[in-house]
Amino acid sequence: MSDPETEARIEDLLPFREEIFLLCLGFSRNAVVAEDLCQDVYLKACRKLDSVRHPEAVKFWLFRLARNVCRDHHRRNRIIAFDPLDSQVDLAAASNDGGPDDFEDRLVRLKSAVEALPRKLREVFILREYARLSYEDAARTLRIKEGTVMSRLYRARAAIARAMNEELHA
Amino acid sequence: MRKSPDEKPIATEADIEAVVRRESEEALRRFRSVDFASHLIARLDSPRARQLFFLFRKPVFVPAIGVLILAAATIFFLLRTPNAENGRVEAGFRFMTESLAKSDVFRAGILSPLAGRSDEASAGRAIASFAAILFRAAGGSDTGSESEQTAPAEGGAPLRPLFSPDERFKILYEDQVILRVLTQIATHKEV
Repeated sequence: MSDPETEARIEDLLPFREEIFLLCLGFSRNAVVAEDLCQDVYLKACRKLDSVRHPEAVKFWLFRLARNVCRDHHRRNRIIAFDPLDSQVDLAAASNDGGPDDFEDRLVRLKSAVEALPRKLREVFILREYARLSYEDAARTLRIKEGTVMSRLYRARAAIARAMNEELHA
Repeated sequence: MRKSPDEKPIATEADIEAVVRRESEEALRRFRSVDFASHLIARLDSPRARQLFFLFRKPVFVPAIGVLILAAATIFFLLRTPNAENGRVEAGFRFMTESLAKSDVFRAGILSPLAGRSDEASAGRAIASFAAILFRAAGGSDTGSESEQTAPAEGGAPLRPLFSPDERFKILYEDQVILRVLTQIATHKEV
């Protein structure tokens, strides 16, 4: 691939920077880690540009790559992932003083509920709610039907609401 | 949140969406303030990669200083011309500074060393600051073009520009730097 051609193809990837960051945020549940993951995604993307078979669908290729990068990171750091628990407990304790409607409290409960979701539901939820992809784009990224996205999203939301309520009432 | 009969709050789908949205907005605010380009450069672990990126700066430094002084003096005196209309001066000024921002010689040879930083994104901000200083010196407002500031909205309130000049420069600049770094990586597989 020539330089201008490469540059043009990379230029096509840049506008999705924020969506990729949000997707990484959804998977990592930590803004600092998400920034690193976002950089990883772009570094990997430009090294693998040759493997893009359908340039018109490069956006979905990039989102799939981001999902894989996040999944690998999650696998590698499964033990470290327990780390935020301390801060979650602190946050929850602190927020209990300020009332149960506190944002931090709800955020902690949401994060643990998302983490507890089955992988397929979690991916759809993150693509739709964090990366803000349309149903169609989420379906193309995951290579599933739009209807499947909708049903998984419905189940994911219901499971999260249930988990948040259970944790609250426990 | 809704309340259950025993007065405990119940999380609804709207609550979930609201929490995600707020978390995303706060994280995005932080992300936007981070120099993505300079962080990308910092992530390149090969000396060759850095060399590729910074190489073009060195040979142009000395002649570029002369260009800078001449350009600054020209812009300053042009802006001080009493007969110049504000709108035209501002448009000309913006064109000139944006052209300078795009110029490799200007930003690589002058602004990075002047900014005292090793990354070009800082140089982008230096351009914006430099532009703002010159513009203030010429008696203008550096918070957006006249039309953007004063055009009234339907309700009568003045429209605010979406981005400040500083942000506009940063956006313009960051994309160019990131594009170049990534292109270098993509075209030099050993990096």
